Amino acid sequence: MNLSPVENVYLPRIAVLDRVVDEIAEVKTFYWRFEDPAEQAAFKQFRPGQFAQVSLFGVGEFPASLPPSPTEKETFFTVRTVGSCTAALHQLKPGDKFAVRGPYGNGFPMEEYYGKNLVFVAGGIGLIPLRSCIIYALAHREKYKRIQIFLGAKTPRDLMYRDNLREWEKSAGVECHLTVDRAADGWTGNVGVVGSLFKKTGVQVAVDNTVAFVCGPPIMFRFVIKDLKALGFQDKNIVSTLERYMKCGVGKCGHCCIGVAYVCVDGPVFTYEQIQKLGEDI
Amino acid sequence: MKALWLCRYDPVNTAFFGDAANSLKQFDLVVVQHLFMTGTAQFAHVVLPSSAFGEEEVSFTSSDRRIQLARQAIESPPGPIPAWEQIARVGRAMGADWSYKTAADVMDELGEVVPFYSGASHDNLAREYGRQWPCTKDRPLGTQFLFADGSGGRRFKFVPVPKPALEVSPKDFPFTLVFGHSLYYWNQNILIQHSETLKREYRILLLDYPDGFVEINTADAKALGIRDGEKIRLRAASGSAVAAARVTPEVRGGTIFVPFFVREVQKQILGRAHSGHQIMPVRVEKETT
Amino acid sequence: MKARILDSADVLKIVDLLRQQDCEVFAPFGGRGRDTCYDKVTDQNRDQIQIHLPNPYYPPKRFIFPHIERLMKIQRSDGGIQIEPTYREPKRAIFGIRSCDVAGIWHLDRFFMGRDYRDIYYEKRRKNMFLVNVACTDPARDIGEECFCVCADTGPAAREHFDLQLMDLGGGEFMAVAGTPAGEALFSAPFFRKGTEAHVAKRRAILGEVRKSFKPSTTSWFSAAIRHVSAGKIQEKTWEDIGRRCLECGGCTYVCPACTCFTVSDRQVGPDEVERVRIWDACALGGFTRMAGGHNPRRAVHDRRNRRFFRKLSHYFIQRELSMACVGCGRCAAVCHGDIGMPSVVEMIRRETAEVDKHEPVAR
Repeated sequence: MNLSPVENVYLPRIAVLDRVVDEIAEVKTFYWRFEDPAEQAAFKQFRPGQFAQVSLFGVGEFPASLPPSPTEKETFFTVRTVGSCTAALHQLKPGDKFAVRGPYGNGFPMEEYYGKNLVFVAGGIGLIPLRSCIIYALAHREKYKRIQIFLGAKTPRDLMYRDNLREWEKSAGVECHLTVDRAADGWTGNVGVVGSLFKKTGVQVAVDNTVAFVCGPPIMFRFVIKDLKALGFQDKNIVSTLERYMKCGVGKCGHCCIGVAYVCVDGPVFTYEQIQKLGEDI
Repeated sequence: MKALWLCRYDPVNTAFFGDAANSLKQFDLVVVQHLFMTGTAQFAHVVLPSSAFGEEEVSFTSSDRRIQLARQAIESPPGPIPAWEQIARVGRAMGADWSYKTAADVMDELGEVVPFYSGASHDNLAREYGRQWPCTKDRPLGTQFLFADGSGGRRFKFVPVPKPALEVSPKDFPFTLVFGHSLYYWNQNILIQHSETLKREYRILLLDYPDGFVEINTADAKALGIRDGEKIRLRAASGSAVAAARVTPEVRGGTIFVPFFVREVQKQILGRAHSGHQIMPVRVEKETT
Repeated sequence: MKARILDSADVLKIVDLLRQQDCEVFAPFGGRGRDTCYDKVTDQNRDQIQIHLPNPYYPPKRFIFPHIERLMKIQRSDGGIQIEPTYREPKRAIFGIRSCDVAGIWHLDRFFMGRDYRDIYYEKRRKNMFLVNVACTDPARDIGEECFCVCADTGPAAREHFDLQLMDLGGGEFMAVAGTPAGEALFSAPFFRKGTEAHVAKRRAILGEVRKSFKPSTTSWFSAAIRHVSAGKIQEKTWEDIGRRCLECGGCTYVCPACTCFTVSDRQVGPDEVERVRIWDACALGGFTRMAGGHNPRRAVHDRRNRRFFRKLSHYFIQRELSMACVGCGRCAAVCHGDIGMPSVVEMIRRETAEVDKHEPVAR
């Protein structure tokens, strides 16, 4: 058999941790770059909604969303400690080495959405993958019509990317609405689930010619879908990104295979129409 | 009894209804032959590391009376030697005339001493998937069914066993406890530790139920308003225990399955003088704290 | 395809030829009872190679896609990390591989090398692999109770994807068919001779006969099952029935010549060195889909069984890989303690369809 040489898709490249920023409880943002500038430049071609595989020495590898937009300078992950790999990442100090490969997955087709309204609905750390799209959309502001952000968190302390939130709240080009399940720390904003924001006085959710990005815990997802459909959204205009246990990121290990799709290569971004056809819980 | 010699036996982890650990502490000398540093080996004064399955020629007898021969497939790493050789060496050091060269020699001697093993030479065992005893010189193929010809007065007789009288009313204690192995936890799990996939399954059980679990049928749980992972109290006449409920259709209605490795539940509920082989009626309550 | 005739007595000379070319050769050997397995051929065991024997349960795919395989070494020193991929590409041959297993390897080829991301570890081993297929012609020894290659269209004689195919013509003769130039190159050995039309006719006659010796099986309904699964017509209850019988041992995947799933694990091999290995994994196990944090989208056993059969039988995946992930070897049926190997599942699907048949005539 004669086959052309092929690169090793499982081989991660060395990355250096530059700095760590606390976001909320158990969640930190890790700024990093590849040791090799050429790798860094190649990686920077990623699309919003893609993900990378992160290797921690002696522990293993895990898939992580890419919260930065390709239009930003720095590369970083925002990660909550949930398992052994994420815990190991949280142990790292600036200057420490780990390894990354990617980017993987389809990502959000942001160019296809040119000329449309964008509605972002995020619950808790569901904002991590959507942050990339929001920053991207704002960097190409003239390409899109209205941009609305609806963001829910358990308490005011669970709101992440605070600098961005402040900026979005102030910005004229974007309508940003926040809500919490339980008020605390002198919170004066909305209290209630994220869907309650849609019905708030003064809020008018764009429905026609609109793409809704939804990301959050499974229960929030189900309720938001209901609310959006009640507003008149069609399944094909609701997009989300799925999470699955995965080992390879390149459609080989089989763990993330659901319905007729490998989440890692056919996803992680799917329309709600596609998600229903996959026939598995979110 | 002052000394105990245990060959590939791990009562601390496998004898579920006694207190092997405490008993072992009473001995002046405990010798353990095993492949792994088992729970029992922790109590040994001398541990003799023995060869693993596949590293030696060895025969074993299963509970269907089948004597099987396992051939050596690979070499042991330096150190461990077959268990029979360790026993023979100690014997020789103590002045016995135990000059076996191979496991087959040991088997031949077994055949001389144990009449129903007289035909079970390694050569004979190697010809099939083992022979069932009695396997004698005149019945070298072994015996599939005992007393098949109906002869002799030693046939097994089946007699009805009186149903043990319950000391409590089934109304008050409607569930029956069943003890057994959990799918991904056998004994000390020494073998599972060496399989990445099985180790993952076991770890997940512990992540989902950090304090262990007891299994309850889905319909029963629904009737009692118990959700998966919730704490439930099992109350028996002899004691009571609290454990997380694992709600699953895999156990039959009316039973509560208690995996062996969830030791605390067992101890608390059985009380002291219980053999564990009796029917154990319990009542299930939601634990509200 | 070019063909040659050789004497039965010379068949193992093919093994010798391959070994002379510094090729590690794996061939099937018999054990006690039905036990058979592939093993490396040495000077000592060469004469014990068996041509006709029950297909070993442990599939030969492991010589290309090992059960456990190291992917890379990762070392740590002076605050840095070095990652070194570890490739092994030994020159190997499988002698006596059955047609179903040849189809299995073809499926692995399509899966690991046929899409956007190619698997370099698989590819390196595969390109150094030589396959000598033996067609199943002896109903007593080659063909088992559970075999259904005729329904899966993979046997009893593979049509492609081998380097060399051997078929016992009886009467002390074998026919060798070359599937690749490398296979044809072997024909220069003196023990091959040209065949006649009579040989070709004999081959055809044997194949016609052998096809009849397969047990009449429910798997004749195989392609209909594929249609029903693809159309999503199977009722949840059927999957639940199948799930109830699954003991979650994963045995079906470990004997399957077409299963590809693996897990990856980093294990410590020194104070500052770990190796990343991949290990076959099984979708029957609950941990296969459980995410860190506890969410498991496929917690119920029947969801996992549904997954396995959908992955193997649906048109979507057959088209995606242009090959099918079930090759009709019947191993899953032989090892399953719950009797939900492929043939039984096909039968359960058939029965369900019969039960919901709405076209039964109504007596008036």
